[in-house]
Amino acid sequence: MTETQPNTPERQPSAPRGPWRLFWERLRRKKLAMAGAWILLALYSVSLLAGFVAPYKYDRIDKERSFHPPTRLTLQGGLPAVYRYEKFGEPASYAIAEGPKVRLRFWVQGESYTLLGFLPCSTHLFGASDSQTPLFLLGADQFGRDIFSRLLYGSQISLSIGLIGITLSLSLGMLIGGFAGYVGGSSDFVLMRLCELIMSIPGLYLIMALRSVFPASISSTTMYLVIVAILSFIRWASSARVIRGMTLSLRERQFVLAARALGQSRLQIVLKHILPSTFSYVIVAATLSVPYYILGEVVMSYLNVGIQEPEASWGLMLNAAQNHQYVQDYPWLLAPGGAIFLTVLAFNFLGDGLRDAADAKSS
Amino acid sequence: MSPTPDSNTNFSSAPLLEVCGLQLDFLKDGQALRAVDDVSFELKAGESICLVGESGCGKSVTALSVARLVPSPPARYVGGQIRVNGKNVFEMSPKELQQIRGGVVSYIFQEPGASLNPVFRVGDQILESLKLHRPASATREEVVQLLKLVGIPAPEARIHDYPHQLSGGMQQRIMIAMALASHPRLLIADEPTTALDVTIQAQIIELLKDLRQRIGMSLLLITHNFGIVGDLADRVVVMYAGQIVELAASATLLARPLHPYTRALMNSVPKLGGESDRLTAIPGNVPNLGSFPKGCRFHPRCPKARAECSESVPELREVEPGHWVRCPFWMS
Repeated sequence: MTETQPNTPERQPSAPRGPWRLFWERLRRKKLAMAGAWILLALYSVSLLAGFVAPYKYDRIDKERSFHPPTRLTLQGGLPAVYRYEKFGEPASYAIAEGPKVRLRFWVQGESYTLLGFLPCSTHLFGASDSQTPLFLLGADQFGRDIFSRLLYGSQISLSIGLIGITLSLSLGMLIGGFAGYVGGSSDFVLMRLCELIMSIPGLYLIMALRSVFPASISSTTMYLVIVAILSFIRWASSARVIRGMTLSLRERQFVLAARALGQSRLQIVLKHILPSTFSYVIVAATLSVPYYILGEVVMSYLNVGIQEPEASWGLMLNAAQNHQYVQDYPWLLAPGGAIFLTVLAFNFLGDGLRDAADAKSS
Repeated sequence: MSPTPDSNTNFSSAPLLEVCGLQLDFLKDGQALRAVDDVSFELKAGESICLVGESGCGKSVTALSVARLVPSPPARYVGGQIRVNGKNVFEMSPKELQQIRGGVVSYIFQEPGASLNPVFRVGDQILESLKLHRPASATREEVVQLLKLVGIPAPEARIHDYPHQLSGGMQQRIMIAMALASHPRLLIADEPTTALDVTIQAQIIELLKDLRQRIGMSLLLITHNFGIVGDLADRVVVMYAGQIVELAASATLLARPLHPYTRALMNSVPKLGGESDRLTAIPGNVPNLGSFPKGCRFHPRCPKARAECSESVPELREVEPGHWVRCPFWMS
């Protein structure tokens, strides 16, 4: 938003402005949407670099510091530092300890991790200068695991599940909807009744039913794929129906006749001429339904049919906050809820902006 | 008994396109409505034919049938054959049809703006046509050449434009370039100038005429404008309510139209230079599909209708060599 291109003299006044360019120019004027976009950009970047930004690994247990409160940050001599805490009694409660504070250092060496999944690395963005002092920015959970670090690692699952799910379900929806709409006849009938069948089953029951198809305990990677597959399977039907409706109107357009007259095959016409014209809908639909996948993972993990401990995901972390006594005593357990809230809100703002920008008539 | 062109015309041998007794129904609410009824004509390589008639006479459906482009359902081919290069299009596999479409027979349509895909640059759309039928010459240079051929100024810049940035005349030139990209042997132009304003119409007609001479392809032109018939056509097929009512060499037909419908159509064209009489309109409308009158389909609107006209269906008869008329009273 900050970079405004100076009008260079050689730029032609009638430089071709394609549909994407116009779309982008309309979008740029929507403040909320751009705010959403920046928030998402930040969230996804941090998520990619989770190992580097997080001070600890997601499964680092510190049994001595169960339910440690968020460490307070302060300044010492103009530099960031953290307080030290003392532990009392059983069940433990914590209080800020007297005495010197501990410096916060940047680019510290710590536990090793693999950056971006392939770069072995042990440098962390920040950490306490004294490795004995815990650094729990958002507190610790029952096992003394750092919630902030788990939140970052969990975002890798929770945030990517939306993108992959959208890609899967929309490609399936576009292909099936485009095919049904363009070919018509009995294949259209059968496919649309199938969509209605899927849509008529309440989502939660369908999730549980589909989940029971797979073995109860499976590796976390497989589980991740299973979650994405289940959520996309439920979701493709509604987008297929919309795409089919758009195809029905697009196939009557003269440029489709012209493409047929040129000798293009059905598949080419659907892929090259019909589906690109549905992109403005698809982009909006994609953005607005990413929250569905994020929340879907939350629901599945919350119901214990999703990601399993000790892996971290936002839904699984919220699972730990089920006990109302815990929530009362240790409100920082709700941090993942805040992260979900922020992400979903950002996606909705962006989606609304995209929808307005895609509809040229609105402005 | 398919009408053939004059035997003394020197077009090369075998017909490129033969339409024999084409019958086509549209299915609507379980009813079969005859849209094209026993239409036959043939087109030799290099020849140019105009299909003339009011809207709703079956001209476009006939032309689209050549490459089987009428979606069925709702259309249903009841009888007849269409042979392109001697091969019946109704017996072709989808693969063969794709070869014919664009490869042998290219189309341009009435509204160029609607025929171009709004989301792609025009250069890419022409390139697509090249990739389909002449992959070896699918290059930017070839696209520029084609744009030059159809008279587009500054073609190097225009290939980056989107359709909405071009005027109607330019869009139609792009469509023609796209149609010609595959080196078709037959160009079917479905009212290519109807949506354009008059000066641009003249330019496009001039372009088609010029291209025909340079490339030597056949042309099947659909129009309801007799003004361009003499300019472009070797022969004229006049259609009314799904039937051919008159077929003749264009010079013959323009000089001596025999069917009352043809005469009425020609009288409704304004003449430049002559005395400015009121234009004579043909009373009434083309009957709707499924409600064709008994007997001669034109008789309710015909100024010369007699009692017999409402009883028996007149046959298309060759009254002079190469001149076919569907009216028994053509002499009067």
